[in-house]
Amino acid sequence: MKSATIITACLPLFDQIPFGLILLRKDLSIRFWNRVLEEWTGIKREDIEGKNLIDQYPLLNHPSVIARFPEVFDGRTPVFFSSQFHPHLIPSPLPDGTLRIQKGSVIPVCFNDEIHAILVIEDVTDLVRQVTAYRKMRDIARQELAERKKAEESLRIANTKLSLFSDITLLDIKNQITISLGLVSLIENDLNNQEGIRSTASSITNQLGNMEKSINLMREYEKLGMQPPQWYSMDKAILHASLLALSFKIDTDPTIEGLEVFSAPLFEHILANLLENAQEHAKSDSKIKISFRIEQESGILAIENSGTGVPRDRKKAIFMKGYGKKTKLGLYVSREILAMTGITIDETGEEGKGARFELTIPKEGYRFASASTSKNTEKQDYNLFHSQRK
Amino acid sequence: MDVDKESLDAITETINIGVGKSASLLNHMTGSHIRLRVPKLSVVRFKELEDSNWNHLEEEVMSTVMLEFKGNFSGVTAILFPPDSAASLVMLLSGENEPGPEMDAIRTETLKEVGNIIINSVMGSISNILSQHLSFSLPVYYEGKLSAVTGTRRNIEADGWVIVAQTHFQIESSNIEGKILILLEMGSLEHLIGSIKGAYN
Repeated sequence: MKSATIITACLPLFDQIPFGLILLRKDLSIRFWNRVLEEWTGIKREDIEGKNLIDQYPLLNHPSVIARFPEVFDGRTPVFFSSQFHPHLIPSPLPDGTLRIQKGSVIPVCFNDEIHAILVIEDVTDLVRQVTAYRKMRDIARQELAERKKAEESLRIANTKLSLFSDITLLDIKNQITISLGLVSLIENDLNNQEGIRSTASSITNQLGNMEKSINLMREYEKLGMQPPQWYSMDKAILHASLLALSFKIDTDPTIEGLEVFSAPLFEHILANLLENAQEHAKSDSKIKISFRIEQESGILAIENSGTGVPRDRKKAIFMKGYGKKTKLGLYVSREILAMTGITIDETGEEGKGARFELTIPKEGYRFASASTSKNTEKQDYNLFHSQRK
Repeated sequence: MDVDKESLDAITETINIGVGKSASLLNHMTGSHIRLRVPKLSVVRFKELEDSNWNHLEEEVMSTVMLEFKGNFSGVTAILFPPDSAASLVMLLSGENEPGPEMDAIRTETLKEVGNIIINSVMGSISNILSQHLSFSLPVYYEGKLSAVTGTRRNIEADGWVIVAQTHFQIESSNIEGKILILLEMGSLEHLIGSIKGAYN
């Protein structure tokens, strides 16, 4: 059978297959253009057959395509074009206007002594879209899993700390009860001393007040185990802290304006504690100054005053467990809570000049309100914080 | 049959010419600077792949692109990578920024094209030496152990020869190791060595 006869016999078959098919001569002229390609491109075979493929599709004149045809015609090796490197071999629009994603194979065929190449083009749009959608779903699932693990770990740490803080507070309450019972004994032993009873009753009232504060503090601690960290507006946190500490001589530096800090719950209580400590080491008429600066991308929140300051040999000790009696939260507990979001705390003042507490905040743990106008939910904030800390 | 050092060197050079050509084409395709070389080549019996030196090929799951060839020189040529390395190679070559070590449908197709380019270049070099056309199948992708890959090829016998070319891909600052295996039917190695000696002498 002559070459032309063989090809003529094959053409109806080429029109039946569900792929685009081009029969090429060695000079890359198009010998046959099948019906699927007519449908995909809108180009009729009579308008394209006999023309050079590269002239019709100049983008194929790239080494990644054109340089591989000699492999087919001379080396007789099939060539494969993937959708990743050649997504639109023969650009063919879909009804929605996007282009079909294609992959192709070129197979050498010999009709008598004339070598031809059959370029078969498959539409893999659906497959690629499905894989792309699967990848997105997989990435979201992975991200959510990682975030959930981090959230669980964060809550686990919070619960451990909560247990520790509860122990400390319960010990305080127990001590207050012991003192109160001692005071009651004093009354019982001297029931005729009206003046003494009045004074002792006043002391008992103070102890009960302290117990109430301790119980309230325990309730606050419970937030650690239930609430994730969140962004605190410094303006509001300072106002809240000043009310808690009954400290109103505060000079807020303009650098604080719009500042937000990412912290575990009780941030206002921590600030109140620092205000109390600063007050303790201050001159009676001095103001407490609160300022913010950036050093090597970390944010430094400073709370300082002029006064006696903290003696050098006590700078570390004040952050130790059980140190100090006047503070409600305690610097040890404050340090532990701040550490949950990577914030460290140091006393950097000079003895004789004043106390200065500095909170060093990681770069992902502070921002200014202008950058956060979207008002993310707490969960989003929490996720953002952790994704930035990766 | 013993494969002398001269023949081994000649096969290595022939394969290096092929991988060099494919590196040039991959450079054009991806715009990355790719270096491809075969630092070590061995010719062993197929059954020796189970020995300690090669048994990782038998025991580990590999991402494999292979095609069959027929003629006076017949067999299967395969390029194999551990799946993680295959995914890394595809990501580096395609500039794909999707994390994850899986070889999904898009990546397997991409690896199939990369493998096709390398295998075609290598087999093109060998065809030139043999001075004859071979008939090739379309490349296929397979993920599994080598024994499963070759198991269905009835013409590959335990005493048949395998050319194992350790292949080193250097892309930007990454290094990826793969292996090119040419599993030969009986008589094909003798034919190749005869042709090589004729071509180089």
